[in-house]
Amino acid sequence: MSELSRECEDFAGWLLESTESESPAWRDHLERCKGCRAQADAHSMLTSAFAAEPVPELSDAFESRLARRLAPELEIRPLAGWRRAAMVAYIVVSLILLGWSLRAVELPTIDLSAPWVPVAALVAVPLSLMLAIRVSGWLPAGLRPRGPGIVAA
Amino acid sequence: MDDAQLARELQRSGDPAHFEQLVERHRGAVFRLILSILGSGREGAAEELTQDVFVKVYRRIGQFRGEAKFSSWLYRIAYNQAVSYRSRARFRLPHYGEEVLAMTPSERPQDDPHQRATRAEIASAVKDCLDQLPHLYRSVLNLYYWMGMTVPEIGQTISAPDGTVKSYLYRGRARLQKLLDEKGIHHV
Ligand SMILES: [Zn+2]
Repeated sequence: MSELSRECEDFAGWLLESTESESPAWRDHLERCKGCRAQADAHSMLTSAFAAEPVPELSDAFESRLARRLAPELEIRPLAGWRRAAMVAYIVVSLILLGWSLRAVELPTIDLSAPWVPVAALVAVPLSLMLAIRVSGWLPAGLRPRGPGIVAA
Repeated sequence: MDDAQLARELQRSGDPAHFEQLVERHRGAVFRLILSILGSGREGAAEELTQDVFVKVYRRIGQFRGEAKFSSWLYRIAYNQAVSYRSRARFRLPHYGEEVLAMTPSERPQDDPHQRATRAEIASAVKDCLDQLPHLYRSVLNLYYWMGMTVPEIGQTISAPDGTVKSYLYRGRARLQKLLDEKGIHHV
């Protein structure tokens, strides 16, 4: 557009701000300037062509399909905002209360060489890990479930 | 709530109801934007890509900083997704790169000229000629005339300065008018 005359540049600017393609103010210029005439004609034809264009509609299944694709991510949605804060506060208060109540309790001594100790550890450790993941929604990035993947080209 | 507030609420609470509202507000525009990049007759692919865009938006909502309008951020994702799909897919129509922007339309095959056209035929001819334009010109003309976007909005969508968008609009219209002239289609 740099090679345009000042008048042509002004007309191009006017065309961007106007819904019309002609105005008495530009009549003389449009009669002598082929380039601006072409701009005005193309502007008119594009405007009327798109005004007549029916608005395309998405199919009725669009939303349900999108919901299905996002379902795996929604299921493990991490706690956020006040829910996360409430969960943290609950855990902290529970631990404090537990510690305070255990001060007076004489805990039974456990024989760590007993055969049931490693079995109990094998069950309890993965279980508590799974529970923590479920509650916090935390998962390493590589393990997060994903949607069915983007459309094939 | 406006879009930015919904997006912030979605970031904070992860509540899918906020996401559903954003989808409801923008799905039609995203579909049209994608369709305007892919070209008419590709509604099926455009709908699939619209799905992909919203899945991507849900996953990336944490990256929305609120510096630009939510719609600008969303449309840029949609535009990039459509352009990327377009470059991967085998299209019936050739993709013209920047290097052929200088070619005159008469170097491309044309239909029978001097046809008399009614208003509907003119609209159809305009669409045909648009499809023959280089991808950037066609996209910008579609975004401006079909989507009703402003020059700055188009600039944010295609990541180009306003001056470049104006130049694409100007050159696109000039090229389109030459094609229409060659077909003998005139403004009524
Ligand atoms: Zn002029």
